[in-house]
Amino acid sequence: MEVTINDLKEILANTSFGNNAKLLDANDSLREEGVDSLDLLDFYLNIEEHYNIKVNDEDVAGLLTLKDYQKYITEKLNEG
Amino acid sequence: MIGITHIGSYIPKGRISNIERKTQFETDDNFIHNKVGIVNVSVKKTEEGTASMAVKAFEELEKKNSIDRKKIEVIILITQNPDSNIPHSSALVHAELNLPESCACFDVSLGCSGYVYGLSIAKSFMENNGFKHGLLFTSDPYSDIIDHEDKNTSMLFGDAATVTYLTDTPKYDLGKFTFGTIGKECETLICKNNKLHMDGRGVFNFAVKYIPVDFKHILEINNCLKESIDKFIFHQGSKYIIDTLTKRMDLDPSKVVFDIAEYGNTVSSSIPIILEKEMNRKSNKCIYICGFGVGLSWASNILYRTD
Repeated sequence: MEVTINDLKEILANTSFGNNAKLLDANDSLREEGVDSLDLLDFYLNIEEHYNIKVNDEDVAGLLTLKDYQKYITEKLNEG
Repeated sequence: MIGITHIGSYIPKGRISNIERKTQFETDDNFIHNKVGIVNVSVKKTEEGTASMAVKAFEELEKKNSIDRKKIEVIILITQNPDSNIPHSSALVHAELNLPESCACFDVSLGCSGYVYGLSIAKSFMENNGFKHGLLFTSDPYSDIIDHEDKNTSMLFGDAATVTYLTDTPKYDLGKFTFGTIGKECETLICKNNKLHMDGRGVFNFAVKYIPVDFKHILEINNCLKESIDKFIFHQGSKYIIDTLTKRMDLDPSKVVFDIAEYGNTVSSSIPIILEKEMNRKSNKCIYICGFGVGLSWASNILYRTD
């Protein structure tokens, strides 16, 4: 399954961050653009359900941008 | 049929402000008001305890309703912070209220799902024994186990107690119940060395994954349509959890109650505090209640107005 930045924006838009997600660039820092800690919890869960993967607690500190998530999810999917 | 006749609540007047602690917790007004949804948490006086808060809830009940103490046949107290391990706190309440010697008393150890569990236990116990007058208390002084440096818990939990008067001539009948437990996740909310620890992500995932599934089940077993429910009262964990459940369950937001900004998440008391107010609206013919939390556990019911 291909992981696109637009897919991730759609998933993030499903949190209370809403359509602001559509305005993000791939390399923007989500926290600096206003995605708060509770939106991130919802984002992680939506990613897990959409891609059927586990977003590990120990990995999330390194996930700052949509590009980071794209790479992380792609690697998880390739692990199989 | 045993059901709910009246509810009394006691919320201590003491408050700790989250706004005043926003710098300490590296947060802001918008997050406190619109995401957590808790501006102040209630805090009891040092000398107050589980039983004394329960007694104050009963005094509030008596102020508004005529209760004949001599008729009370059972009291059940939901708490995970009893005044002592021995004796059970319900016996202390029994003594303080000078209830009849024939009155049964016991505590039940449950957290945020405890009120709904307690309704089922009380109904079964009373109907099986032919009782007509019972009291279900909730009283959990979490301020005794909160680390006030811990943002995860200190901004959320407040102290309160409630009492629900159950009789055979109720204002609300109880429908069929659902229950559940994910015991393998029990460390998500745990008290160690007398301090509460909470994995916020774990609680969030648990609630928003399991409660929508349970909701379909309870509608089915009660032969009830979602549209016929007038009010949805979830355990008042935080605004974000309630908002996310509202969205995931595709509920009408005007029917979903969130009203804890001034006192916080009061554990097993959160549902009856809200229910006390909602019971006064005659338009609430059908009320969904759902408690979830420590265990991890949940319990749900649908209440039906009798008049």
